[in-house]
Amino acid sequence: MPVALATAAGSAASAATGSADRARWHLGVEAAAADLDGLPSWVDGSVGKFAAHGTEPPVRGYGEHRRQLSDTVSATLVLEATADGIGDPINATEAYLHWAPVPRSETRYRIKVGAFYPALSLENTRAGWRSPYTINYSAINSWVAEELRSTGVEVTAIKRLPSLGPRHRLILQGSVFGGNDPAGSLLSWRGWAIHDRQTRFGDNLPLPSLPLNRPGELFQTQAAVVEPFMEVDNRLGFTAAAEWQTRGRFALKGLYYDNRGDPEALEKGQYGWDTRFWSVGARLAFPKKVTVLAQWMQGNTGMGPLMSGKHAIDNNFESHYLLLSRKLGPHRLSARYDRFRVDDVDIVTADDNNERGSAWTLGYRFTASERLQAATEWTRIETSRANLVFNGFGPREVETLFQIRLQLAL
Amino acid sequence: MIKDLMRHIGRAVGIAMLGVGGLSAATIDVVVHDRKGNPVPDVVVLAESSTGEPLPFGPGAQTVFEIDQHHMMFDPYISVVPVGASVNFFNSDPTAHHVYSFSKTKRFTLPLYKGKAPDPVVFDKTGLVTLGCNIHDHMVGYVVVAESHVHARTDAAGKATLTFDGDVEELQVRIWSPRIRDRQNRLAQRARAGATVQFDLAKKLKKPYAPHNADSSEWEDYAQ
Repeated sequence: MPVALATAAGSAASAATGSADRARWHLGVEAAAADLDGLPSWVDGSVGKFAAHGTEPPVRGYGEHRRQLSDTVSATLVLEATADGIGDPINATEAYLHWAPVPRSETRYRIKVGAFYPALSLENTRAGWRSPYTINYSAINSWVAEELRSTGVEVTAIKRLPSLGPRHRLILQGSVFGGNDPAGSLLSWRGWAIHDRQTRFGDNLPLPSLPLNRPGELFQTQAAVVEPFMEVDNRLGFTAAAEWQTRGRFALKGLYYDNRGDPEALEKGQYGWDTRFWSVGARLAFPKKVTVLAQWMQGNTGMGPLMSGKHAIDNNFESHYLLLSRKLGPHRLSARYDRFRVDDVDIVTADDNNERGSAWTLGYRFTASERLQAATEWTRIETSRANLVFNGFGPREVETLFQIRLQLAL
Repeated sequence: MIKDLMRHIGRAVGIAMLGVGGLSAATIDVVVHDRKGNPVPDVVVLAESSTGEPLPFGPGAQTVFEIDQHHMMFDPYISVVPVGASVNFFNSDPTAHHVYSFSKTKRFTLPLYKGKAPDPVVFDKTGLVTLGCNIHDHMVGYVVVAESHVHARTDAAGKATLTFDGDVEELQVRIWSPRIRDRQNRLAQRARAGATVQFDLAKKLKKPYAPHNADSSEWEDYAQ
């Protein structure tokens, strides 16, 4: 869904000054400098877990546009501008209609139709799916940003619990979606990653070169790229989630995802992957503006014909993180520890997807004004992954990234 | 002590005003205690008819009221209006609000707007109306639609005084607060003019309304 840069800028100018409530643009421009001590990035088709490769343009942009179509219906379009060699310079990450019918009881409903992130992230709460805490997302949410997007319908029921008090909510949420069948490809063949690159519609993500993906081998029919938002098998997937919220204090959310992919489906070089997982996350607010986030994800992805009871590729994956953040006036300090693993449980030993790893992220953010933020961040990833050797690395690698970023909201 | 003084002066003025109108005034004192015996402030005290006949004191002089929204709150948080009153809703916030109520007493929606709503809302039935905002889930306010303009609010000492037409000998006194869990039948008492009515609540009060802290912007409604 390419959109001309000029149109976007023009709309921004007019909408910013005009009827600000009916149509609103939230635009941001980011200038970054990065010092990478690690492997060539997966963005360039290699196996490095950062998205930074030192030669990408130092400027990025994003725009979130919301337009009120009626009192209760709005349309949202989120665009991401990245010129790192994958996809068009500007393309959409989300596009959906949102219906908020006026409540008739203590339960309010929200319906979303379109293409959107499955609602499992606790970190990415800002416009453009940004995190207020760190530049790089956790391993969990880096994968969500890469390979997960739901095209379909999501229904949320938010129930107030007045007998307990005004702050408590019970939220039930479900979605039915398509267009996410190859999800699991990158996670299997490249493993987990830590970055903030969001896949846009139309992005084809490179896969590292692996023995079984080469001509004449078992997965020769797999294209050299992954198109994660493709519908391969004409089967719908679903999510089901429940959340408890005590506003301003505590939230606990559990979500189950199953894309119901047909692991034997193949279309235009893209396989169907049967990917399902549980995600449980908690957010706690403490005095002195301390926030704690914890999230855990565990699942399985499978692709290819059954071989001895498992699919040709059959991987269990798991990751969790703990994030602590403290706001002191205009300063924000955040620290996050990630752990991640992939357990290869299929019989195709020549395609070894096993991985163990962990990462530390330390970030500082300064809010100069409502529009201007400066952030600096240091991330260190330790990975043990056997198939790194096929790209001339590993099996154990340590990567470090130091970034400085300036963000201007327009 | 100053608050007690103010209350006495207020009562005296109320009585004096009724006297000026050629009517004698009567009062009923009301005290509200929680289950531990502590006074409960900010409880709405209503005068209702105990005879089945409508009260002789009607809407009073004021029949048009205002409810503003600013800092993501309804202001006032609790409004008490006589039945038949109309309320103009204002919006002093930089964002739009979509006010609604699904209460049986008055079901209405005021669509998205900034500044003043075009039409006032008329509350033509007695009862409780709970206000919400369809955009900002945490916003809540109340409109208590009373039988007449005679009502009061308990002070920090849990005390209030109903001042009314001296010809009325007996009233039903009803109390209400969003914090009270006790059943309705425990919240109304008959009282004769000049009496003191005490309400001792049996159930634990809910926490007082904590206004949305705009500073908690890191706590996002990420599940809308």
